Amino acid sequence: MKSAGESRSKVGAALVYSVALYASFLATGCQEKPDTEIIRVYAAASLSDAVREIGSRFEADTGYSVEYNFAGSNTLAQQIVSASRADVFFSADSEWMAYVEDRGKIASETRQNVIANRLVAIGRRQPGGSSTGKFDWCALRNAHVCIGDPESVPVGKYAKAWLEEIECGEASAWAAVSDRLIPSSDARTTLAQTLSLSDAIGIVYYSDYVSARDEVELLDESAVVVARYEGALTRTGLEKLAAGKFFVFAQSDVAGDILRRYGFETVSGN
Amino acid sequence: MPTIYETIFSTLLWAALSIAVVAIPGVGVAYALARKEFAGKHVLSTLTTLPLVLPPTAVGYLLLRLFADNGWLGKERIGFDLGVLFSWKAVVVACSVMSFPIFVRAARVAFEEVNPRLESVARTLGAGPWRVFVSVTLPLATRGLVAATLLGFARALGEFGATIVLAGNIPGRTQTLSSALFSAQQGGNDDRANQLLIVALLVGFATVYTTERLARKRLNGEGGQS
Repeated sequence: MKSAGESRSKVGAALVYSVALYASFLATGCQEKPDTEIIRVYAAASLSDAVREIGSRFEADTGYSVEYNFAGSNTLAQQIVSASRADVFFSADSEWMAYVEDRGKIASETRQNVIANRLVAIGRRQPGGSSTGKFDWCALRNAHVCIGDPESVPVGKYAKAWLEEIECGEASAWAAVSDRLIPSSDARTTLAQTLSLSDAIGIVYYSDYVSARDEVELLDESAVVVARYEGALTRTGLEKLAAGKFFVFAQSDVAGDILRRYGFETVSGN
Repeated sequence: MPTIYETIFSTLLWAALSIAVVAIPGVGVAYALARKEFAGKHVLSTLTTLPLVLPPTAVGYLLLRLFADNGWLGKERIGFDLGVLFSWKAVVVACSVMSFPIFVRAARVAFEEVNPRLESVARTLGAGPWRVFVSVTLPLATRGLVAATLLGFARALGEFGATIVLAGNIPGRTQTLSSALFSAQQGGNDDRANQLLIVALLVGFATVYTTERLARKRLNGEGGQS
């Protein structure tokens, strides 16, 4: 039997060790740079991998540091309004960008559409090979249609608009599928739900399809490009040379190539 | 970009710090709820449980408003910057608030299980209230308190909703296991998401398993052995 004192000193030693380890991690983890050389990028979580890759490329080219914060656009907007700690904001939703702009936190003249996406219909890849021929919404036999919530989630709103445009005799394809819908909170959840059901199709963004290419089959593609991510410099970002450079770089051809690899489209004519 | 080990390590450390912050006020509140009768006891009990039933993002927004530049604890109000927002301190604040109710509930049960007669015997032998608490109540409640600590720790480990709002999801600065998992999943990086999921499962299993073991021992009355 060990004495209490002995085990207590062990706990103490472990604690000291952890703190020391942590301190060394902090020391090596981030070389402190002056604030003017660190760009704080707040980006919608769906962009996380792509924006990170653009950021590392920018860091390598310029020597500046990029720091990220990834969350839902609503959360980021609330954070920017509560405390001005962001330099660049990429929102998946123009309403939240407007919310930040209305509160005077971004430089309005820099606000613009930066990234687009396209809706696609997908299904789980069947072991027996893929279907051929034109996908026919009106003859859809699948038991479930997984989409983002058409009332509240952008990807669901776009999906509804897409299907409403497709005519099936008297009614629209939307009317034809409306009793088979499984609405969800976001495109990633819709993707996961579609993959979990053997007899379902899902409507997600092209970038979601690209991320799961091995498991899903592309059934149909919308002709309309939707889901424009908006970008802007914040008021603090506007005063920072490095942030301006990053914002321009994020819209360059180099960044465009990275984005396209993740299944996004760049917005032309800016 | 932090490695997966750094993320695990920071998450464990922040969860441990959170539970350290919670422990002392938590023991006080739990003891008061278990042993004392006072006005507003039910209100206090309800208030301490509130973060358990509110959506975590709502708690996060309340904390964000509180620490915002123009909030009650913001730099414009109190004259200096506490440096909480979007730093590791914000992670600890969010995790503490979210694990407080679970710690208090478990610790309260631990105190209630201590036989009050043992305390009164100590008092009749001349021990003061503090002495009774430290040398009788606390040792007898130890296992329950350790279980409460582990449960609170587990809650802090998995905390997501309040943390991402108050601390953000800043890799290398405030990113936790949960928010890294969220980023990987939302960004479509399934391999990384799966890796993180396995780690989260292992850490969660270890914590809950230990708690179960401690709780069993307590029920079987093996309190004296180790």
